[in-house]
Amino acid sequence: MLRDITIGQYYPVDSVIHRLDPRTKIIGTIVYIIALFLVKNLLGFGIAIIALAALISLSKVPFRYIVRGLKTIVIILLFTVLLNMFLTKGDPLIHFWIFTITRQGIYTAGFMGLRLILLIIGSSLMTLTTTPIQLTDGIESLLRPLKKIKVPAHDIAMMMSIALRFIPILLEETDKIMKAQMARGADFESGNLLQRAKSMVPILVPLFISAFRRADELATAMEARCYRGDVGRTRMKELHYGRRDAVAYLILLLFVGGLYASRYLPAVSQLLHMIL
Amino acid sequence: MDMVRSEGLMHEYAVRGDDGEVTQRIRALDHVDLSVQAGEFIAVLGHNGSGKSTFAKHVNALLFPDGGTLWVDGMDTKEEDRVWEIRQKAGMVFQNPDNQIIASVVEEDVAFGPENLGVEPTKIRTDVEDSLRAVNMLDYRSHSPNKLSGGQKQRVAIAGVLAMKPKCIVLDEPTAMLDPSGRQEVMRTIQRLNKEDNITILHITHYMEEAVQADRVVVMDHGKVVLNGTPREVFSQVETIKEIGLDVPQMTELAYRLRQEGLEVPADILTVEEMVDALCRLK
Repeated sequence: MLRDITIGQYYPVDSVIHRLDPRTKIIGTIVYIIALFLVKNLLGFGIAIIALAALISLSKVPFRYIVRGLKTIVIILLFTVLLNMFLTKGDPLIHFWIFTITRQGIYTAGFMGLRLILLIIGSSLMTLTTTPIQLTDGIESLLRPLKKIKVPAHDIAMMMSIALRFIPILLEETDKIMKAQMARGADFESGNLLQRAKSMVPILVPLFISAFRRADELATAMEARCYRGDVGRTRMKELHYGRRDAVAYLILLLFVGGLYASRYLPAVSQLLHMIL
Repeated sequence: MDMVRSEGLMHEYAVRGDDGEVTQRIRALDHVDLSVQAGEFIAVLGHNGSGKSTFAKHVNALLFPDGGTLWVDGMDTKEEDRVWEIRQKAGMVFQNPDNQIIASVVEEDVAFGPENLGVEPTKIRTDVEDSLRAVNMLDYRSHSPNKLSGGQKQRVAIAGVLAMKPKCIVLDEPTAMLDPSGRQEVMRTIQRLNKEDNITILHITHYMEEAVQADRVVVMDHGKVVLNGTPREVFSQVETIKEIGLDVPQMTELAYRLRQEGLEVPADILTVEEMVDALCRLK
């Protein structure tokens, strides 16, 4: 049952996006997320949607597969949209009982919802096209300049990759412990929320003990293989920027420029408003 | 030349009470004198707490002597600045395959050792390929370790050690968590590395059938070396071995019982074939 959880789901196909350097994808995603919050009108969103659609079709990841990632945030999405809709002050459109829906409310709610959806799809496109190892390598490489201010870039990346390695093992172990406790009559399904939470204790205690034991053994094994932090350490797979990364950065620059320009083109967006 | 040599090697564990005070000192290794020739295949037997794993950790410089000296390829393990050199020369494979594989792709894990040693990236790549080929796992290079069987995982762990170009490999009960076919895979790999690449093997095990395949068997009990000799010499001492609480190989056991019944079979029979031979020669 626990095995259904997938973290950092990677969609293995060969595409231009897959072959990009992970650093390009990480920076691109961060810039894209920030840019989304700069968008103030429909024209901006139009640009963002077109750009995202182009990226998705380039990545060869089926659209249906990406949308599945939205399921997990449906509740947050609804919550945000409703709150924005009812709580924004402005010209009232509909009024019933204590609720008032304003024109501005509808706009903000719509924009916020759209922004969230674009944000989730955009960032999941990154995890779908980048293997977890590439991601951690990319993060390590991007954090490296921060080492001068004592940010432990290598350690962070090592922790992430070990965590990724052990997530499936610990999930399997949790499954095993649950079955073992159920075989001895433990009940995880009935009772109220508090009782259910309490019944998790006999799972968590053995899980933690075993995780600590694993950590201890792993540390010994790493030491036995001469691990001593990143001092004098080389990598088998080094990251190299290619020509396609340069092109990607150029496109990113154009995209941000376009979005920024869209803020100052109220006339165009007015026009769009009238059409829509 | 001796690959590993210990003289009066001692190791003590402190047992602490509730207040953190030392209530007892347990001697895990008690004056161990042992030498292992380069290219030898040694099996170390002993039940839990006999000190065999402690000895293994000393060879890899994961533990340091409390008394006596241990030389690995001529290097004293007490010399702190040579620790990394010792660990590279004497690689170690542990019992639980899951807890010694670091990366989530097979070839990345094999590369972990050479990466730590600061080997050139292109050289690492060829070393990794060679090591994976040596354990017959090259086809799985881009797989996730989670999807491999126990025997395959253990072979990846061996490849991880091989990639560091060791002269000696210490295996601490590498087959204890494997099923019979996995156990066979690992034993065959170890045998081949010993015979073809002339790598010294220190194989710590519970299984008598595995010990039989070694050049020499060392039996440990309470931190001391009790028996030391060829499998034939060691296992013919059925009474001493049983006293320690260990078993002898099935056929040796059978020969022992037949001799007690007055049948004239040799005491040092190890395999079924030898037993068949000996029985046919009777009368």
